[in-house]
Amino acid sequence: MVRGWARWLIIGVPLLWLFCFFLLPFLIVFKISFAEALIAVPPYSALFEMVDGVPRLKFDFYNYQFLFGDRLYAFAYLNSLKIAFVATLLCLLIGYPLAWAIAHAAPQNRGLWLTLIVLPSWTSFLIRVYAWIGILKSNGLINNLLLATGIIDAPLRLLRTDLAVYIGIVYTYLPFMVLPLYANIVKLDRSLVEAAQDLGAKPLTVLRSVIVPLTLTGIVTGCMLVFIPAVGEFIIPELLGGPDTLMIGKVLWQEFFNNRDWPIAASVAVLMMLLLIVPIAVFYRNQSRELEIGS
Amino acid sequence: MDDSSDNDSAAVEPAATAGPDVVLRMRGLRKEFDGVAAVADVDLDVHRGELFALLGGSGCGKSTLLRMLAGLETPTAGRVELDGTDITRIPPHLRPVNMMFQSYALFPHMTVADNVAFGLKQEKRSAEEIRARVDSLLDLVHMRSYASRKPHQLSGGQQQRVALARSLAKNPRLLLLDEPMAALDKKLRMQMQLEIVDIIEEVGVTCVMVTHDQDEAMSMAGRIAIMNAGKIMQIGAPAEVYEYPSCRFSAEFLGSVNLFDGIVTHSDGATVQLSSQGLETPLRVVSAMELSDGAQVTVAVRPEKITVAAEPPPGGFNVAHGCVEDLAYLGSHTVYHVRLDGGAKVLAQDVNMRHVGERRFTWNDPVYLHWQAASGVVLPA
Repeated sequence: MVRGWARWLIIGVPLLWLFCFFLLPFLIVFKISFAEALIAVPPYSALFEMVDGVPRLKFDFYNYQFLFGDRLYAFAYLNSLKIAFVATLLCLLIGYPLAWAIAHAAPQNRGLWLTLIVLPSWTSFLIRVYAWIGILKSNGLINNLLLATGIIDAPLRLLRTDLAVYIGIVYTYLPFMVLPLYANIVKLDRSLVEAAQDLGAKPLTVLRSVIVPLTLTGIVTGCMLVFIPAVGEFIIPELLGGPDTLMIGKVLWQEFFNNRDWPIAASVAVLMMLLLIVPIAVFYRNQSRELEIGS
Repeated sequence: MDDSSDNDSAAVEPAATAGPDVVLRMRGLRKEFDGVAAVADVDLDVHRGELFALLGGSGCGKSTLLRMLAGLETPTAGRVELDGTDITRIPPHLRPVNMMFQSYALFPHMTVADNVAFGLKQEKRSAEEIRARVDSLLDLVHMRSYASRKPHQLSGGQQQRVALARSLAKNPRLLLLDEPMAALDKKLRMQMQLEIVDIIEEVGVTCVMVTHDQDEAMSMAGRIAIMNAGKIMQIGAPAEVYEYPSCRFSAEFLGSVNLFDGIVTHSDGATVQLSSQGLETPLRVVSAMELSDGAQVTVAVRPEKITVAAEPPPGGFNVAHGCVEDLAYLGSHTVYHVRLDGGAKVLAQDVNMRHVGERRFTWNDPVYLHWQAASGVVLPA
């Protein structure tokens, strides 16, 4: 009996935490998205009305109609997905060889390499993004170097471009790609690769038909860990992106802080959540598949 | 297999090139890891259709040698020829050589049929042809009904059959088996040994296997090479290597052996006579070796060739006296550890033809040990 009680305590504490600080706030945000913006404190209409002592919920779909009516929002969503997708692909292309190299390094050196991958994260994320401003700006590191060596005559416009946003996202999220890939690749039985070679598979065929399928859970995990936060990324497009770099995280911030339109901001957030349900579901299925294989 | 086993049994050196049909030829094959030789200048010929075993302890270089044949390891020096073609630098995927891996290395994400078909698919054959070939291979290893299973749904023996079918799929000119029985339990091992040999003989493929298990090598292979420290110590048919070890290492590596150091007192090209400390009588060994008197040599005698008796045996040669210090009852036979009067310890093996209650000797019994002159082997120093 004590065991059952202890088990509930162990599961209960994180569940309670998630309920109080995740589910409840989300439900409030969800309800705010159906409220009306007011110039008041808080700046939205009441979430429920008391009718004869019974609370009654009122849903106003105006905010969603507004979001669907204005093409800016649709564009921001699509652009976020595009930027997140390309950045994820870049992370995968850079991260896979990196993870492979670490997994095949001498065992005593692997820890060092992994530490180096994670090391930048010990500095504040914000400071690292600011550092990129210093590198990319017109009189920054790269431009000065190119000008000094005479490769270019006038500084290149690097900062406040989509390129800068890609650089920022790839740089920031690369560890989240490398770590799950490493964990997967290091478990890959080397004799399977050798068996494929032995049976006549060319290097690319070995990659396609043995290595990729067997490290697929690592690939999916890494991609989701990069893609999901990248879609909602706000700081990187705000600091490195140009005025035309439209991303939904930035829109959300502007609605919330600049326009003080909480209901619209809330509905933007809810829609973003819905948009991410597909990748999150993929991620979840992938995780449970890995657990199955592991057991 | 036939053409190789009835060579003159005295030949211990690699057979002359004129005789058997050599498929695989290694010359001066060497592999160093960080300056340390794992395989040290190996010369070896493998004949067409034979099952050849590389036998040795762990770290003797046998696996490295096998991996060089597969192309998974690049030799530091030397040459590998297959049917007269130099394949030393040919990458593994272009060699007509296939390997059955120790852990089988079946692709866990593919079905049994896809595993077997993998090599065939690399050859751009038609789907029809591949299916027919896979079916016939699965029939060969009695796994047809498991074609759509995944490897983890199979038992160890079944996985091995699939691995064998996969490595035979492309009709390799050379089949490599890396510790084929290591992943199986003892009972299954005996059965699979016979089964694999049957299948390999049916297919007729030339085969090189690596093992650390002497029973496995002796029961499966037509010829055995005993390896130690990257070198080949002796090559021969199982009976030849066991009965006529050419050196101390192969005598001690295969089974157990009693070694008597002695000084030659007489040698006439038919028998050698020696005096050895601690023995009742002189040693006499049938040997064609011409040895000069006074030479220091070692005589090896297998325990099962020594008879244990209570009375002194007649003859006046190859007799030792001591008492039973220990005995190990192993069911089919009993091993007596006899401490000789001179202090040396000798193992003698007695077949248990009667029930154990009638055991002839027990602890501390004084016994005489005796063996025939033809039972010993002179090992050159």
